[in-house]
Amino acid sequence: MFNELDLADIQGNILQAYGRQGFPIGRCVLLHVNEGHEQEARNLVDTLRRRVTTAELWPSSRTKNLPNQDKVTATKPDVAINIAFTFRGLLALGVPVRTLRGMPDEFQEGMLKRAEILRDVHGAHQSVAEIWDQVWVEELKDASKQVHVLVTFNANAQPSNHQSPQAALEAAYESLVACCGPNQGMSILSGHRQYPHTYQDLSVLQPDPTKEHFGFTDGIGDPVFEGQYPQEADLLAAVIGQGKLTASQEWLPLATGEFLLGHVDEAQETSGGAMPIDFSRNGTFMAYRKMHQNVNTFHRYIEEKATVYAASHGVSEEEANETLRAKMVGRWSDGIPLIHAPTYGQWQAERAKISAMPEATRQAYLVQLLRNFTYAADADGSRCPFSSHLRRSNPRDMLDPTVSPAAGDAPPRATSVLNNRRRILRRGLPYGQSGPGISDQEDHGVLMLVVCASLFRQFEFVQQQWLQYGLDFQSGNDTCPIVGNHGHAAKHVIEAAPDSDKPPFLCDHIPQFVEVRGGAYFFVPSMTALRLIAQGLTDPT
Amino acid sequence: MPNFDGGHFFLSSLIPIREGLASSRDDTGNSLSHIHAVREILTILPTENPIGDAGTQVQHYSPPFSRDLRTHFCRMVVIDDLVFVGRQHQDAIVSAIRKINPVIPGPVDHLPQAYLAFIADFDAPDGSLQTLRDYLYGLWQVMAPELTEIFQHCIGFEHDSPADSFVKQVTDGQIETTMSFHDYYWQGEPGLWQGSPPLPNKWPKVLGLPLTTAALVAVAIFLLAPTTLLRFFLIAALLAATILWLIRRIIAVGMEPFPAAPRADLRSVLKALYLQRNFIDFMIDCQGCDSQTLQAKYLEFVGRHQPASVDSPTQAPASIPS
Repeated sequence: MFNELDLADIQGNILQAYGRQGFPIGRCVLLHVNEGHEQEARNLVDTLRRRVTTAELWPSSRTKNLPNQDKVTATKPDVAINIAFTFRGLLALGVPVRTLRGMPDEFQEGMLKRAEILRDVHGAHQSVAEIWDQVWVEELKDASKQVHVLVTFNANAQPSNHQSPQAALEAAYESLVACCGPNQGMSILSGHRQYPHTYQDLSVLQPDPTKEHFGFTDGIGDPVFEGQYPQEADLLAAVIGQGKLTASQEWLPLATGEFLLGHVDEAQETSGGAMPIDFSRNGTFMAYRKMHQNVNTFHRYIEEKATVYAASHGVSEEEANETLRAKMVGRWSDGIPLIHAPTYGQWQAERAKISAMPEATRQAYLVQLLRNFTYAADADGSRCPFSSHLRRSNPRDMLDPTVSPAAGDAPPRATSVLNNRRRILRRGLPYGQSGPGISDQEDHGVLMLVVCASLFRQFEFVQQQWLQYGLDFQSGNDTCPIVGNHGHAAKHVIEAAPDSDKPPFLCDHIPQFVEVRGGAYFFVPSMTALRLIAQGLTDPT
Repeated sequence: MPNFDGGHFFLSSLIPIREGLASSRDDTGNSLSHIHAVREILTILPTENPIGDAGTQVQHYSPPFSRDLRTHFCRMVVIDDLVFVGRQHQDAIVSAIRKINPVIPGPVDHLPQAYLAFIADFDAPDGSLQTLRDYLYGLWQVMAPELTEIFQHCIGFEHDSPADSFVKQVTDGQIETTMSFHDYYWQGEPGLWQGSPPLPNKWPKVLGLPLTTAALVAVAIFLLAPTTLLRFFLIAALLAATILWLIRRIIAVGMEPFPAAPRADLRSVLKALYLQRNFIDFMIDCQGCDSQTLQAKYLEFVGRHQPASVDSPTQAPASIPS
């Protein structure tokens, strides 16, 4: 049965990413609940909740074909505002301990304490305090700097009153600043790396807005779950390559409870343990990860190894360069997956085919090409390396221990059963500028907002076991070549096809490409829970 | 025989811990029960070698079990008592009929005393008691101080004949291992999706003798039994006996150990890990080399790392080089 969600109760940015809905810039602001000002802080939450953007539908290309236009109940805001809380934030706001004890361990401990198991400490550093932005670590020395609340602003590219998105964003931010101060409910925390230090700036307005800083097309795939789309037909179209794969090779939406609390999940259990159930239901958890990218180091390393690759494989430096990038990520720089085009020649042929297509069919073809693939037919990793970023972060069907072998024209078949409980929604935007003349010391990277019902089972597992370890990918201690922690012997194996006359290629001594610069675990409450928090009325009995 | 499989002995032993207080005191000067003393010692036993390859680690700090090159894994843990998991559940109607009064507490089971569980997985030629004794005497040779510290708190330790009493403590406490496991059963093709290991077809062996015998006896019954009724009873008895015999034979075949996988002993495993690690460095070093250089480098690699020599150079046990 088609599962219809209570969209007005769910915060925006969970079901759909703002970045894809025409909100190209944003700001993240961190707040501290001032001791002795609990009531004023709740009053501020009460003020903010009236401005919070929900998942209600607004007129857009997504909704224009809805048969029932009554479902389009909202207008697109100039600035989408959302709010989330750390465990200590909920405690400071007076949420009862009896409710909070139902919160999971990892959320109670927080990301700072779990940085070691996430392997966020790299190189010669002793602790994340040496690496993270001040705003995240000052609480180690000063409890009055504890991160309690996250408020995010995402600005509409075309604000209604013809002002610029930047102006709308600044106005929304200033309205929050006006409500905060040391003698008020909450203070704005300072110590983000970039000026003016009181917020984290976000923007996709790079030279090419579809590319992240390393030059790859980003944000192609994301899990699809029941209730996420207003129309079942849209859901069934989106689910291909993004949902779960059954034994009959049918793609189905994942269970809602994998991403929203209080719903049934893939284990047929109801997610979320904080009582009352109204407090959990339609809320979720979010891992905030500020990921700095050493862009120059990345390009330099690829160029250096491309020379070796070009010599050993007898190809041009250009081909070697593109191939190494693709074999690390799992997709070519334009997003075409290696599974569909494992060699440079096949990639070029695919590009030529796409550009020759009529516009009408191109888009549908591209969506299929970019999303719809499996790994069962690539059991030796010769198309897409086992250890590539794409395969590690979403192994699709590759971990299934029972594979039906190829029969006739049908390729081998496997299911995604061991992957269905490890999916994460990726929200968030790039920040900072990179490019010629900009050093790695400057502040630029991606702000990942990872949304899932269980940070432990989904986000932390993917991070620790799949990105920072290689056992499930037959890669020993190797970590993800892109976002992994790279020790002195970090390497990445590019498998060769069994019928190829070329040996496998090993990228050795990979430097640190991505560094986490801060983050925390947040609870993203439903509008109901937000009201309970604001009114101090959470009743766990 | 689940204690022994695939060239590995799977030891499970429960050694009773002495009751009352130990003569020693803890670091705060407080008195110490034997159970507490064992726990303290186990907590501070080193488990990992700090340095990678054999010959380079400082012996004094080495994990004691790593001094024995037969032990793959081992665990020592104190089991105080059974954990009470609540009253035995009964259907309310059954309880009412049997007049069980739920207000009266049900029985709570206890162990007679605390036990030290000693679980180990080591290379062995067979599963005999003598093999176990040889292993234990071998352990004593390399870690007598640590074993004395632990086992003196267990019932049966004799300071006059410590080695013999230690071996007796462990062999007396041995219980059957019913779920043995190690990682070297099957050498399949490398690849992500591996099937089950190829098993020999044992059905002819299981069925052959019982069915042949049953057939012969059945013929004899038909030829010799004087009445139909007697034939019927004898055939029924024969059928029951044959089924029982088959079940016993299936269990007996199931108990047969797998043969040892080639090079599944600890020394070979360590050498394999050592070679694997160094071979990766060699591969990286050779990328793009011409064939002459490659051959020269390979000869140098073989000379330095000696793949055919199991014991040296190799990786130190209980070390996890990155």
